[in-house]
Amino acid sequence: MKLNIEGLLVYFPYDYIYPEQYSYMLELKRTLDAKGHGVLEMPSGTGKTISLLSLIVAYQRAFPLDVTKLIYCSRTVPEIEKVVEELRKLMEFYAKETGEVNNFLALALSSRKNLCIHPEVSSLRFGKEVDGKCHSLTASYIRAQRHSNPNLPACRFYEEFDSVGRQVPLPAGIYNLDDLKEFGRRKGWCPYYLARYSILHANIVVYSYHYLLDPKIADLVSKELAKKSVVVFDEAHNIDNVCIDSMSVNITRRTLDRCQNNVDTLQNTIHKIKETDAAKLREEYRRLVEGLKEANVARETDVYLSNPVLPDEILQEAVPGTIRTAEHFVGFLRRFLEYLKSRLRVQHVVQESALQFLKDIFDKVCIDRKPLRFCAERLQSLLRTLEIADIADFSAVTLISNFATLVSTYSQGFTIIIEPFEDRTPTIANPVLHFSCMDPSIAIKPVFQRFQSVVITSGTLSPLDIYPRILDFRPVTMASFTMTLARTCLCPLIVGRGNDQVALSSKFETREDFAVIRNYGNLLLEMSAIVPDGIVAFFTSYIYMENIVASWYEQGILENIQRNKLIFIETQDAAETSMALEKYQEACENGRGAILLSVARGKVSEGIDFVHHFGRAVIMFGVPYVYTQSRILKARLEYLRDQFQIRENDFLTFDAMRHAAQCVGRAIRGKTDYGLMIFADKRYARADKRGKLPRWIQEHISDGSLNLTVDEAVQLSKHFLRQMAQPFRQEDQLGLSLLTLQQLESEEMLQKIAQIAHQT
Amino acid sequence: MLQEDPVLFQLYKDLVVSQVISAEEFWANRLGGINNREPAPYNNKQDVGISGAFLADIRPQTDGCNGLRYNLTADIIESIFRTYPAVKQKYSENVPHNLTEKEFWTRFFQSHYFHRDRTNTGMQDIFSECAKQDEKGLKSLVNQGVKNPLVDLLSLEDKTLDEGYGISTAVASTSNASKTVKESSNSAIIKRFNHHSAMVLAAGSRKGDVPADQASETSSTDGNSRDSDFFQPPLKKVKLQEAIEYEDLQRENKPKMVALNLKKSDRYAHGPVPLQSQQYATSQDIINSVSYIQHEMANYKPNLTQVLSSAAASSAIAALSPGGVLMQPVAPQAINQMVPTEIQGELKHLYVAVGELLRHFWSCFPVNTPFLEEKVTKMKTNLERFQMTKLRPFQEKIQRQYLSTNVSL
Repeated sequence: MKLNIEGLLVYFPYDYIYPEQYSYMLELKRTLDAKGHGVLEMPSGTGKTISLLSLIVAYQRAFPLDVTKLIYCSRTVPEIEKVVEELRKLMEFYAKETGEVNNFLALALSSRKNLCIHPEVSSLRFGKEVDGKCHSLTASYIRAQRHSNPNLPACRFYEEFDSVGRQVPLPAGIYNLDDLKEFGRRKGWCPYYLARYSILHANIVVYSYHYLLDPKIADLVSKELAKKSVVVFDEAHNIDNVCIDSMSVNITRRTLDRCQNNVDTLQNTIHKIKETDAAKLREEYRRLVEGLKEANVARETDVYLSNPVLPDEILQEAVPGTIRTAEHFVGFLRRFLEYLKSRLRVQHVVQESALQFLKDIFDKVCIDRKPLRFCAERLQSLLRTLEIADIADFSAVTLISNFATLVSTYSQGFTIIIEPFEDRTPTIANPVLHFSCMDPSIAIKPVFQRFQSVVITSGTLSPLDIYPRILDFRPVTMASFTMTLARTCLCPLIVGRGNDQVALSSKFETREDFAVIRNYGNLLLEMSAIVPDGIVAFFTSYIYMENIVASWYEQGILENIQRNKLIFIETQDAAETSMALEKYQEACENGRGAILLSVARGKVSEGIDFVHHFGRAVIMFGVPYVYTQSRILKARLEYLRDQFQIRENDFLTFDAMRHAAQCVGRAIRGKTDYGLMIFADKRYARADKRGKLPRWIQEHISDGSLNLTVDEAVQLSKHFLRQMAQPFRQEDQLGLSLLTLQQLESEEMLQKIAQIAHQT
Repeated sequence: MLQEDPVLFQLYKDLVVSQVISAEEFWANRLGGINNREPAPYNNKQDVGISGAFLADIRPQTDGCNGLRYNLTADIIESIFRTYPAVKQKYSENVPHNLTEKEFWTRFFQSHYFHRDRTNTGMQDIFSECAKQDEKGLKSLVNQGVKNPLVDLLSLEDKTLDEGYGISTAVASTSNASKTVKESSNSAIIKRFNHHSAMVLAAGSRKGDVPADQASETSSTDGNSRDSDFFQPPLKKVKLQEAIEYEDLQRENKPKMVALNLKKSDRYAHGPVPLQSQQYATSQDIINSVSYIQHEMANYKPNLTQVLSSAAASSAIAALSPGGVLMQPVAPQAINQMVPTEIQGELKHLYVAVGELLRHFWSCFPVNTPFLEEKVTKMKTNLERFQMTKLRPFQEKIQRQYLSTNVSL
């Protein structure tokens, strides 16, 4: 249908529309009009992606000069592919309606592992290996060597792309990862570099967060994207953790050992080169003296990881004299390495700021701050000069030099924690140096500054106001949308007591309590008897789940559950879990029914949807608080309190509730879907917890269902499931939660829609 | 199939054993009929799956004097075999040469294999090998990877950074070494459940897709990932399309179906409620009505003169007395009472057989290929032969025994 969103003609590729989609587009348009940032929470499964794409594409068509590019960031590879498919659908609709083929270019970008078509390289299993192998085939100096020695292996796809592909722009169209590969195969061009090259002139780019947030990657990939772009972070409820992740470094003893080897190799190579080709080193030295880093523009294939600090922090001056010659620099690295080794030899936990660390390193081994800042840059230059083929081998020394650059660049928002052993195993020495970023706003700040509109959206962003605070930006729109429903297809229940009135809770004191574990088991058992098809249960942590599963096994509860459904359990091994997941879906598919026991914050809870019969009920055992004894977390909480005036408890609850909401929200997709959401912990009933759930879940929690016993919950669930199993037709929804164009245009409906968006 | 269907069996005996038509011809026609026209109920019989809790169902009972007794039925044994092929293999290796059946099962329940949560201490028992095989099986399952790209956790993340970056450390690798005994036994339980469920699921749908599985395994082992690349997209496309579909936003274009219309949906929702007797009769009511009936019976006076006119009564009596209309000698007995059941059965079989042959015969028409022509002539001789070998003897036999009845074929 064609919509009129405040004067903008929007093509929407469906015959009907949910009211909240319309409302969402309204808010989004206001954000774009104001050229500002926005935070939008829209219930999961109400077609957020397609609304977003429809509006922004329409906007791009209407105002091609104001918005030149859409950068859509999502979290996982399947998500990225889904977005592109939805976009394809939209574009097909455009072509059908307008009768003309528009010249939109949209493409997905992913790592080499997902795009490589080189027969040998793409068969490697790990992304790291693929990157390394690709580099060893395509680096500019290796290709230069090939001129003198044509027997060296080459990647014909890259060569072909380099000689032909750049002149011819990618024809307009929608390219998913597979389409790119297919196109690459047909033309004989490398899809990865083709995609990286093409994003510069594409109208829509879909890729993962890291390409924008991680400075090491963003500098390579996204450096030249236009300022007049709209950036969308979808599934952004965890965006702060991604930001922090991209700026943090961990160093173990193993890293240092490998680094030692790297440094030795470097030393040897320098010696060799000195005997054969000393001019090369002199040339590098001369370049560094002049600070002509730019003169030698690194070819796209040369750099594996770019500078770890944000672009505006990189110094624009010459590399200091102390590390200019190759030998000096290696010596410098050695000293730094020895220093780190000595620091890791501590017997007790040390926590210090970056400044303290810098002072200490100056006192002990006389390393100044300035050469440290150039460490990453200098190492790259050296690796290039030495023409190292297999750059993946040098990951350890790269890590160390990145750490050096980070620690000397940022004095605020970072902390250094050295732990000589793990908390759980105090007898086994396993020293780790955490260099941890505590301020997510550092990594995302350049994004907010650079692009005119940044939209942060997800199914669960409650409470909305906390995101602008921790990410430190001023949004022009903040809205949370509710779900209009013709029938209440979600049924959140808070089970606070067992049948024997024992309070259910996963809090620390009652964690080992047998009565609680038994009652949890009872709950699952009873649910397994009444819920059709799939049930997903989430535990607060992996260890907790292991313990509970063990005691359920001993008590015979699991055997009883097996009478009703098959049981699958997430393990710490991703491959094993994938297998379990697939079998779980198979069991749901063939009608046997299954239970998946899983962990909140685990991979399953983040990336997998349990739509329709794959998840008729989600049970959340306990409140998924993060492990609070971790020193990194404590440091972060302190920082949040001091810098952003966010109390520790508020943040912890917020964090726990967003994960809980994420877990239960996985079960709902669309209004024809339905699912039970069972919160099995009495603490959920408290206002501070409940209030942090997304509004679209909160409004369906009635006062009566705040502190149910297992039996009562079973009764309510039975009733709910029977009602939901009734046929649900389109006519039932029409006019209420599903609108035709005529209905949408009526005055009364527009008023109703205005209430859907809940501004904050 | 022959065992399941006596009619078919007889037909087979009649036609194939007596060499009227060849076995292949018989089956070719038969199976074609089943697959195309008449989906016979016996052919697509559903395989019975295995209850997930069959091991739990084997409840040990104490026999009073310090022992345990397990009750095994054929069903349970079948389930165990189907779920754990390794055990079946052991069984066929050891029973009855080395062990009696009873000993085998006793060992099974004593073994560590059955109680796998206890960590294996390496004690010698015949099932330790099974455990290893299972481990291997699980590994190969894992290595096969998943076909649905949307649930493949390994390729979920689009990040190729080294372990040193990021908040989450590489703790997992180091903590494996320092696991306590309890923890590792816990994870063994978890592994076991996953394996068990997967095996139960596989046992339900095992046949048929085994060769396909092997094929996929070989293709993945020879490292030629381009092959798998070519095969993957269709499935992936389908899954992606499924994932982005919003069925209720689209105009419905599937055929209208009659919706179940419930007058009182709440009655459906609550299920059938057993009728309570007091809803329609209290005991007082019953007593009252009984006494009322008794009263009525006591006062009952038959009023016979009013029932029938005398003329009608006398005509009825006349009809029923000997020589009357209704007392004629009995009509010729139905043929099915005269002929003994064997003969009937034989006749039935012959009838079915002839029907089958004629079906073969007529199915050749119209004769438009040389093959059919050949078949027609063959069927003709078949029919003649059938008449000779079966029908003639039967006719003669009947003529011999029942000369009175006029049998001609």
